[in-house]
Amino acid sequence: MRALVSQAVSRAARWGAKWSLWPPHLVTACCGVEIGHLFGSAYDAERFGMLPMGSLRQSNIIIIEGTITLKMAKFVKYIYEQMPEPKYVIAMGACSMKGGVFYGSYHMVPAAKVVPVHAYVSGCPPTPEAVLKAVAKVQDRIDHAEG
Amino acid sequence: MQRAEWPFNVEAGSTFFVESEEELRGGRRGMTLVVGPQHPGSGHMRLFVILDGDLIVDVVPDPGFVHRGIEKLAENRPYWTLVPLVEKASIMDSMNITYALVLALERALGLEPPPRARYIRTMMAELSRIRTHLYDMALLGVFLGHTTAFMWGFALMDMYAEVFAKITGARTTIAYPVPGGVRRDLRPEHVEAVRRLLEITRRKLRDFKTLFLDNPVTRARLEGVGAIDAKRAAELGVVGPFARASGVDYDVRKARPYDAYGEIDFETAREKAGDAWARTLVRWREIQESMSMVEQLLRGLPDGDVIDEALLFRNPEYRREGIGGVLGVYTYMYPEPGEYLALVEAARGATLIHLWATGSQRIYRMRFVTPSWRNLRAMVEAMKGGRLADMPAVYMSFGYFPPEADR
Repeated sequence: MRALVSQAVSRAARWGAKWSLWPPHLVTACCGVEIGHLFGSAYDAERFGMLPMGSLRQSNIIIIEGTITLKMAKFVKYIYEQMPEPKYVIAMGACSMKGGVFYGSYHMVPAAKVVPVHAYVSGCPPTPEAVLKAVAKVQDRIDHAEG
Repeated sequence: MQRAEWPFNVEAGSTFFVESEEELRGGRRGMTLVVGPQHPGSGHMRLFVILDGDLIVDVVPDPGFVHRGIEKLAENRPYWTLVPLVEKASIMDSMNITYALVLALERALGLEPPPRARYIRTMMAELSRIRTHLYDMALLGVFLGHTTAFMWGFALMDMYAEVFAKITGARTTIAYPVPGGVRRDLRPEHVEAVRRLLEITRRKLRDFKTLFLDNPVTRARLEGVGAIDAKRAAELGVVGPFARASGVDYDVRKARPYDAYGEIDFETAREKAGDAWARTLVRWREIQESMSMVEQLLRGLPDGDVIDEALLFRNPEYRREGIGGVLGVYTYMYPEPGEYLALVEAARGATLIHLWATGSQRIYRMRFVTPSWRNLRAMVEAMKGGRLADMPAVYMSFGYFPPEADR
C-alpha cells in the first residue's frame, strides 16, 4: 500500500516538474537574443510550461545562453546551488560546449566544468526550435526518472 | 564576499558606514543593493546601487561578465575569419557591427565593393537597425512590466529574423558582408520579401504605437526619467541615438557617409529633452526613417556583381554567387602594412575598428570600440538621483547590451 501511494505521489510530482520548467533570469551571453525569440509570440515556450521566473528559489531549470566567462562561472554555480531540487541545465550554443568561435579565449570555461549539463543545443546561436527540442528532451528525462 | 572585492570602503569613518542611530538622522545614509547578474532588470552585468530610502545616491557598474577577449582572439586568426568573431559582440545588430571591420579590411586589402554590393550592404544595415531598435523597445516594455510590448516586439523581430535567414542563411548571426562585397546576391524573391516585410512592419507598428508609445503608463514611466542634457552627454561621450536624444547633432551616416549613405536622402531624428522618453522617441523615428531608406535603396538597386573584380581572378564563375569558393581567394591576399580606421553608425551608436596590419594575414592588433561601452558611463550618471523603481527604465532606455560593451 505504502509503495503504491509513494509511486502515485512521485508520478504526480514528476508530471508537475515536467510541465513547469521555469528558468531564472540568468543571461550569460549573446544567445539571450534567441532566448528572447523563444519566449516571444512566434515560438512561445510557455506552451511547454516554460516561463522565465524572477526568483531562482522558484525555478528548476537553467538555460545557459552561450559563453560562460570566468567571472560569470562563479555566479552560475551560486545560482545552481541555490535552486531547489530537482534541477536541470540546458547548455545552449557552441560556446557552452567547447568554446565555439571563442575557443582558446583566456576568459571562458565550458558549461560542463561549472554545472552538470542535461542537454546540449548546438548552433551559434541555436534556433528557438532547437532549444524547444532540448526542452522536450529534458521533459522526457523527467518522465523516465527513477523513483 | 571577501572584503577585498567589495568596491566600497565599508570601514568605520567612511561615508557609507553607519555607526549608530544618531548618524542616520542628519548625515547621508547608505544601503548598498547589489543588482545582478541574476536579476530581471539587469542583463549580464552587476550594478552596486547605493540607496537613500528609494533614491539612488550612487551607482557603481561592474561590467565584464561577458568579456570574451574578442580583441585578443583577433590577433591569432587570419583576417577572413574575423567577421564571425566580431559580430558576436552584438548579434542582433550583426550587420552594423561587422560593417566597421569590413570597411577597415577593405582599406587594408585595397578592395572596392561594386555598387550593387554597396547598396545591399546599406540596406541590410538599415534592416538590422530596425531590428535592434525593436529588440530594445520590446525589452524596455518588459522592463516596465508591459509584457504585451515584449510579445508584439518579438513577433515583429521574428519576421526580420526569417527574412535575414532567407537572404543570408542565418537568423541572427548573419556574417553577411565580406571584404570586397557581400556573401550572397539579393535575388528577386528576396527583394519581394523585404518589400512585404516593410509593408507588414508599417502596418503593425501603428498598432505597436497605440499599444506602447501612446500608452499613458509608458509615458509616465519614461518622461523626465534619467535626463541628460546636451553638454553633459557630450562630456560623457554618449554616442548614437542616445546622444541625439539629448540634442547632440552627430550621426556618422551624415558626418562621414560610407557606402551608399551618401547617395540616399534621409533625416536624422533629434530630440531636446534627453530623458528616457526622448531616447525612445528618437529610436522610434529612426525606425520610420530606416524604412524609407530601405525603400529608396531597393528602388535604386543597381545591377552587376556583388563582389569585387579583384576577388574573381581565380574562379570567375562565382561572379554573381559569392558563396563559399570565392572566399578562398583571401588566402592569397595580404593586407598592406599600416593602420586602418573605420567608423560606422551601428544601431546603438558609433562603432570604431582600428586595425594595425604588419603585412601578415594575422592582424597585429585590433581595437574595437563599441557604442554600449561608450554609453555605460552616461547610463550610470542618468540613474543617479532617480528612484530605484526607475532604474530598469533608464537601463533599457540606453539599450545597454553587455556583450557589446564587454566585447
